Amino acid sequence: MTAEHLPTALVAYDEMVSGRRALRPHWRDLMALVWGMPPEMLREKQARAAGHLAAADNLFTEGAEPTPHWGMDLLPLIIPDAEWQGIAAGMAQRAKLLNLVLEDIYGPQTLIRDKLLPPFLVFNNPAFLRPVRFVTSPLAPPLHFYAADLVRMPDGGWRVLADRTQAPGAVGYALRHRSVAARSFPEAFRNAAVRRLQPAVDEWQASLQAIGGKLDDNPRIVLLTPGPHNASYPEHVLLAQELGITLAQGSDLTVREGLVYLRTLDGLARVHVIYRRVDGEYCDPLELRADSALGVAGLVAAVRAGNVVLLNLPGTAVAETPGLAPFLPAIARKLLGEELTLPAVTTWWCGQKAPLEEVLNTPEKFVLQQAFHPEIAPLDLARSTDQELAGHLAALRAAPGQYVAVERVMHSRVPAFSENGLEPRPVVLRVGAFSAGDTWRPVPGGVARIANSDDQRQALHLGGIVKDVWILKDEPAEEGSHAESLVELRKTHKVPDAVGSRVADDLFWLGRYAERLDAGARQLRSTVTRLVRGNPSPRETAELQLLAHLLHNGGWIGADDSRAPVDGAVFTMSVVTSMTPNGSVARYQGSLRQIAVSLRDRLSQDMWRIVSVLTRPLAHTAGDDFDSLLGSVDAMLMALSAFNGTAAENMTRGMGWRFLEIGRRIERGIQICNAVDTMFGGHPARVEASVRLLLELCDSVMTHRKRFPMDSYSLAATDIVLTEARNPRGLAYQLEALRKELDGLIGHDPLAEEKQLVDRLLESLRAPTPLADLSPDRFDALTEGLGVGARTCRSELISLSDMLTRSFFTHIKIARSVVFAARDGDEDRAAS
Amino acid sequence: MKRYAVRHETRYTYSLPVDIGMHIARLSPVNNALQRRIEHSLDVTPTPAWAMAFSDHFGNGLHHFSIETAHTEFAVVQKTLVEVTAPTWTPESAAPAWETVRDGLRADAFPEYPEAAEFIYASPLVPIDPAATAYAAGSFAPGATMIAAAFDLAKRIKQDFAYAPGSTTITTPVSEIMERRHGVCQDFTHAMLSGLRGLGLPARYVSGYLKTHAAQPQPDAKPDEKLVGADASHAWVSVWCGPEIGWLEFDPTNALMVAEEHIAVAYGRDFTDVTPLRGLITGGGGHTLTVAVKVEALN
Repeated sequence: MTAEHLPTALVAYDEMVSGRRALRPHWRDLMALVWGMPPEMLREKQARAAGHLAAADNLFTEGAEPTPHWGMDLLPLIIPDAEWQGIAAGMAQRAKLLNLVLEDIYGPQTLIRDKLLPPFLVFNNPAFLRPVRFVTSPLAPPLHFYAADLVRMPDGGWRVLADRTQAPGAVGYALRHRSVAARSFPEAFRNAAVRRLQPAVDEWQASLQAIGGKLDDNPRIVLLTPGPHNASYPEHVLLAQELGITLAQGSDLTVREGLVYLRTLDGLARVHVIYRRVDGEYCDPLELRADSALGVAGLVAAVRAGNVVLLNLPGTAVAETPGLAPFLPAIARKLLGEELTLPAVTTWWCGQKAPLEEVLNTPEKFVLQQAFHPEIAPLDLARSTDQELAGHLAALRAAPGQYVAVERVMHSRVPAFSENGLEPRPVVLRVGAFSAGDTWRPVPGGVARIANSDDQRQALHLGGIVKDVWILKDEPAEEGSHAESLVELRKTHKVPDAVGSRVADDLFWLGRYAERLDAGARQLRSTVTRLVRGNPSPRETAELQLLAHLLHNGGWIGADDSRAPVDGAVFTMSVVTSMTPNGSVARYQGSLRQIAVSLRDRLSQDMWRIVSVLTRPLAHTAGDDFDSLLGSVDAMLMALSAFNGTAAENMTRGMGWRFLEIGRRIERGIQICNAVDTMFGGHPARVEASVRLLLELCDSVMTHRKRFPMDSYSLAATDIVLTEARNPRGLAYQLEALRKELDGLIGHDPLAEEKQLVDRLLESLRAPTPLADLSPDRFDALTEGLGVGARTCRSELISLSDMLTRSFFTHIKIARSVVFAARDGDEDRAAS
Repeated sequence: MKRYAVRHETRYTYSLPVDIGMHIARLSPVNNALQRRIEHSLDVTPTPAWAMAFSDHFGNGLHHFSIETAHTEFAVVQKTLVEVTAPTWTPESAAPAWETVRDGLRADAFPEYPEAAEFIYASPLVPIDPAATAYAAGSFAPGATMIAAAFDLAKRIKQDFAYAPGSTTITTPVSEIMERRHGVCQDFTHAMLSGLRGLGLPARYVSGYLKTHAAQPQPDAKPDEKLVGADASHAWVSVWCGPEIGWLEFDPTNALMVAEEHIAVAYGRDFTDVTPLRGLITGGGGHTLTVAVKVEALN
């Protein structure tokens, strides 16, 4: 296996094997373990890691832009302590320098006047946000979190491939990879003194607290995320949890009188520090991009007034241009009086004449990068055809300042698992650092990305495979310390105190959708159970007709299908189709999933797993394999039971839980009303069939058996579902539960209207009905009364839902931009 | 030296109540050596819950207003008493040749005049348009001085382009202005900026007001005597004429070198940098906008 790692003359640095073909000392323990393991065991561990990573990410990335597939390789990138000290010192120096550069660009701009920084790289740079000029705050530096992509050169030295100053990710990913590695390959940590990430995260949290402490003794800190549709959302969720700060989207925040607030159910709560993961130009539709729906109107003004600290300051991405690299050494000498200890790979900005000539004369020596558009992949000019090359050089000649030429870099190789054993792969290391007071703290760890093959070109941008990064301590592992490192993630998350309005809204609808799915699954189960028997009896036919009607009312099957003969192929197919991946069940599952994703940081791991089972596609069956359909529906109902059980037994009774509960009770009430209306509203021919089916759908068969031992399915038995307050599947129970939870919504208007509505419903439900009187004409009036009552109750419950929405959630309003443009000759004309 | 009283009123009427309105105003005439602000007020109704004054990247004076009570009308009235002095007269021959200015900015990575460097690049509404560059080149003969050539360009635009209110919008591109040769002051300013920058010369957009000699059209006034713009918001061009002279202003709409009739409010790369009023509202339905500008000469 080592043969594959033998360095051939003058090639890449090998992370694991030295020039003398010996294993480097810091790899010995791990490789002894790896080589001592049967290959199939390693394969299994590798597969398990992939599973953990997917489980952690799958639901997160719902609806995100198509994201590249991230695999994880179990072997870490190992860096000995002494080497890390060098990287860390270099990172801290670069971060300090870039921060000074940014302070200058958004302040006095003396670097431009002193001819140390070409004005082109600032004024032509779309990441230079003019509205942010002079917005620098005395409370915090413009750059608070910095990351760099590093590459190790053939001589063993590390160089910077790219500076990341916008809002880079690093630490959340590192935490996640550590936890996956620790679960899949715990043995590896046994003898390794791997530096833990947690102390750095704690220190980061303290640093944020200290910044906020300048504004308030008990500062509120939020992580501003673009939301679940962003590919980095999983990192935002994890990081917010680990830092113990509130995860917020732009619509969760609002600016009033120049102060930033979080919208909570208890009103507006002042925010003091915002750690942003939204790109700077999207942070404020008032002063930055007017078309941004991700930001907060007035945020820049609030920062300018010193009322909130926004980290990093919007506009810090101006320092990401690779064109800056050639000028940093001179700036470092001027501002720090130091040489850079972690320099960039050799870079030339083509806006200068000499490098431009050089590139035009010997293009094959260079890789050409865009100065201001990092999303455009670099061009290796040596690999272009003559025709392509002519095109590239013409573009370069036309706008030289838009290009940067970089030396061709040979990445170091690190071993990775492949089908043929271990293979060397090119690697890039992402490391992050945060500011703490006057110093910078690089986080000891990071993310290593390797290519899928030995071809380093296709690596290292997006996609590919990730690895955990081990920084080894000098001292040997202390007793028991490996156990500590296995559990990097805190067991108990700090739950942010206030429940945001959006969160409450989402929980309310999570409850409603879960209950709707429950009703649908029960109706489908009852239907399939009858279809599977074949040749339905007259009673079964009557029941199936009622079910067809109900399935249509609930949106599970189409209107035409519901009117087709229930013993024919059309109806059967429509029931089967509703459970296919494009069917109605999958649609409701999708809605449920979407809500759950945006609640990701509010749901426990267990709840999360349950939702993931609940929204798993039903087993797809060919034709009408009723048996397997029944299995799928049963599994879904089990998951719903688990959902309800976890909500009842494992969630703190806070405001969030209350909204979930209210949503569930309203929806269950509506579903009961639907069933009653369908069973009795249309003058049923066979009342017994209606009663029997109602009891079945409302999971009340056992109760009925106890109360009516003679198996009577008279109309009186509907009491079990309607007025019996002890039956948790009955209507009276839902209304009483609603009444109780409405009382619990404190800190608000008395909700008099809402409560009266529920009281009214309860009262009409309790009014005595002479069910014993069974004369035929009375009977018709009774069933009709049931139908009317159910319909009224349903519409009242729907208005209750609307009223609650208005009371609690509607202040999430979208602002529109108006621009007044005065043009001569245009006065007195309406502008749009 | 001339004194003016300026009144600029902007009024929005909304068909439905606006709950929150946040606005950024660039409505305060600049205060510098050539333009002294004697009195200045900005009245906003309804009274803002929060307001803040600040300076932007270009040195313009801005105001932020947050109105946080429901309202169906929003108005800003700007009143200024201002004293305008004509810039010291510089003979055309004293200005450097335009190639000198161009080459000073072309220097390798670090232009000789960093303060002017920002204004040779394309900007959101002023791309480097080939037609505009070719047109401008007609005024920049080899060795021509900056002042003579820039003034000539302004005069040619006045001559060749038709002043036609309503024929263009805020977003009409420079290429279309060059092709159709009509528009309003903003369009002529953008066209001139594009031509100058295409030649590698720094040029800024200036927004402000213009005192017309006849506020009410006089029946017997000859067309030439009246400056176009009817006491209006106006726009013109500021050109870098080398480090000794600095910035000089030219009005292509009226073929003038700016002296005492122009009151500057804001500088920028193009119109997007000097928008007088922009805002975000919550609620509001449709809205109508009325604007009234009055410039009164006091001496």
